[in-house]
Amino acid sequence: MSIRFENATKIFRDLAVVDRLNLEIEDGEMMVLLGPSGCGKTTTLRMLAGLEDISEGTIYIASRCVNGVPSRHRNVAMVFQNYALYPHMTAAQNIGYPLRIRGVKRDEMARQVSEVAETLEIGRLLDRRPRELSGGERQRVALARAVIRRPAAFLMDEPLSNLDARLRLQMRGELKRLQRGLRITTLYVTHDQAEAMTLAHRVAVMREGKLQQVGTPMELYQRPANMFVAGFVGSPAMNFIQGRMEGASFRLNGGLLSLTPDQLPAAASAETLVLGFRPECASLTSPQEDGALRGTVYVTEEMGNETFVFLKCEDALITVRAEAHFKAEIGDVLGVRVPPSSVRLFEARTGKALV
Amino acid sequence: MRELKGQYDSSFVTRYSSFLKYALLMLFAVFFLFPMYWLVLTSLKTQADQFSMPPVWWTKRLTLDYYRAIIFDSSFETLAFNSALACGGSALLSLVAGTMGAYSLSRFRLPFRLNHHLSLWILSTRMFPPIVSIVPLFLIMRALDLLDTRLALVLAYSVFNLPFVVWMMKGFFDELPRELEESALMDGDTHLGAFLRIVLPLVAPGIAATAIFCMIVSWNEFLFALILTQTDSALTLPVGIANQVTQYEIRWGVMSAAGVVAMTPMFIFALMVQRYLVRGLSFGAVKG
Ligand SMILES: Nc1ncnc2c1ncn2[C@@H]1O[C@H](COP(=O)(O)OP(=O)(O)O)[C@@H](O)[C@H]1O
Ligand SMILES: [Mg+2]
Repeated sequence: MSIRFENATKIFRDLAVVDRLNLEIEDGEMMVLLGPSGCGKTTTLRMLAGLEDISEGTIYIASRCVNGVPSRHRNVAMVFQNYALYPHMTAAQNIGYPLRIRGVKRDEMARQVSEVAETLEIGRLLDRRPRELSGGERQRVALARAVIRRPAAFLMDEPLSNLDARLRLQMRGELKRLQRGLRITTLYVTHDQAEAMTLAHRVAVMREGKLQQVGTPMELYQRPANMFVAGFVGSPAMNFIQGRMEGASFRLNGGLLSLTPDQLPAAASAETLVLGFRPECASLTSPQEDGALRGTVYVTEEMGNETFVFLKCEDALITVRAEAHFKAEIGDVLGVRVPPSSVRLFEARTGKALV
Repeated sequence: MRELKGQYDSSFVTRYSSFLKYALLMLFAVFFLFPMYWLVLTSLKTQADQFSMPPVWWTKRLTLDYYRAIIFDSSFETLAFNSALACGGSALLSLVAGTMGAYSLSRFRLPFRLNHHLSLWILSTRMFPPIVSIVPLFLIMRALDLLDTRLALVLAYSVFNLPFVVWMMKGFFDELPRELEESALMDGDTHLGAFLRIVLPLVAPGIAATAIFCMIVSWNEFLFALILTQTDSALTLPVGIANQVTQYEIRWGVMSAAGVVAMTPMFIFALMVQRYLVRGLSFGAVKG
């Protein structure tokens, strides 16, 4: 079922924590709501769930306005960050709870529970209580409880954040397979950009209650609408350097970076510019090379398959990805070559992307 | 060598301090248990021993006469029945009303900070000594024609049980993660359903603990029962036992035996639910 937010607003004590949100989630789509902590993601989800009323605007589920409709009549299932499993019930009773409420017969319920448990590979855990389950197992039980009644939509609030790093990666993959297999419309909330990139059909980036950009992970990565999105999506984050235009080039410390022809008109219109480039697009070279940025090595981080070199370029700290065996000492002076085509330009005052 | 010596020292210190701890506990135990011992002993002593000076601390000359006397006395049974009704009735009434009240106070945001004001107001009813309310209560009961009835006691005991229940249960509800109910709502349940199926089972130990406190207080209550009741139709055990102090004699044996019998149900009750009592009181501390 599709979901639509129309100017949805939530006001807590005069403050709009969600500010005129317009967002449409298509049937079967997995939309990830991405943003830093406190930006209003949970509040958005809770408005959709019916756990929080909507101050202004309208929310539609399957073209039906759900403002004021109690949660139980919205037919959406939610997975909470702490799973919210009922401690006094076994896993089977937890999973069967939505059916029990709907008056499903005992043996039919047992059949469905074991069927769902099979898909999520928790068949042998059904007699245990939540406290006897590990974090990952609880997560699966919570998912099973959401899946069992085939809701119109799944709502998930940082469901992986309580798991350790390895398990999180594993569950991330399984979650994706589950969602793609069932094709149930999903709104997934996270502050982890890697989760957003890997899980989403489309990502909606939020900041301080305002929607910044909606797009496929690739669109966000390649064409961020503003500096906030550019800095939030991708890891390590995009590098930003402030500067100004000099003819057809961007004036940097120690050098001029020539821009591509299509970047020029927009660049000329702005007073001060911020140039952005991704660590994986730049490469290290000798400091004497023409048109290269010069920087002093601040620190290096060897990841095994690659090495990240952090350099100080005047005030800015920039990151460059180098190959695994790259060696540099702290304090070395290096050149950074930035291919003009990989450069994004932003207006310094508003942070808006140019071009 | 030095390490060994250190080890010896520290174990000496821990042993010494744990000895001290147990000595202190013994002292407390003796202090609190002696009256019980004396009560039980007096209920079994012969009348001659009860009054002898110096007192008889220990004797093999025991009698069950006093127990026989109260067990075959139908008035004792009546009083016990009155006590049980007043105590159970008030506990039930306070728990049903108080638990729902506490849940509302814990979960629903009322305007004008009413949650806070209501909670304090409820608490404030316990801030004055019970004797202050006895005169108005007496007048109310008389106006309602409820004097010397068990219903009067049920209502009167609820006056001081209810605020206690509200505050105890509010604590338990506050501890319970809201997500559990929200999850139930998302699973398709109503507020009432979530309360009955999710919340109540989880606070059951708290309810048990609270119920027992209410019952112990009402069972032992003296003042209200003394003022509000007169005859066997509503008199309770504490007042009945005190009535054994007559103009002509103090019937120590009967009083003691009745005291022991009256104490027993609460004693067994507390033992039975001791586990829950501890868990209930420390519910917040060991969540999970
Ligand atoms: N019940 C509430 N009352 C007042 N402010 C709230 C309430 N819930 C959330 N907020 C505020 O709304 C903002 C957004 O919160 P939230 O939606 O939980 O953010 P996120 O999930 O993105 O971390 C935060 O600044 C938070 O303090
Ligand atoms: Mg949140």
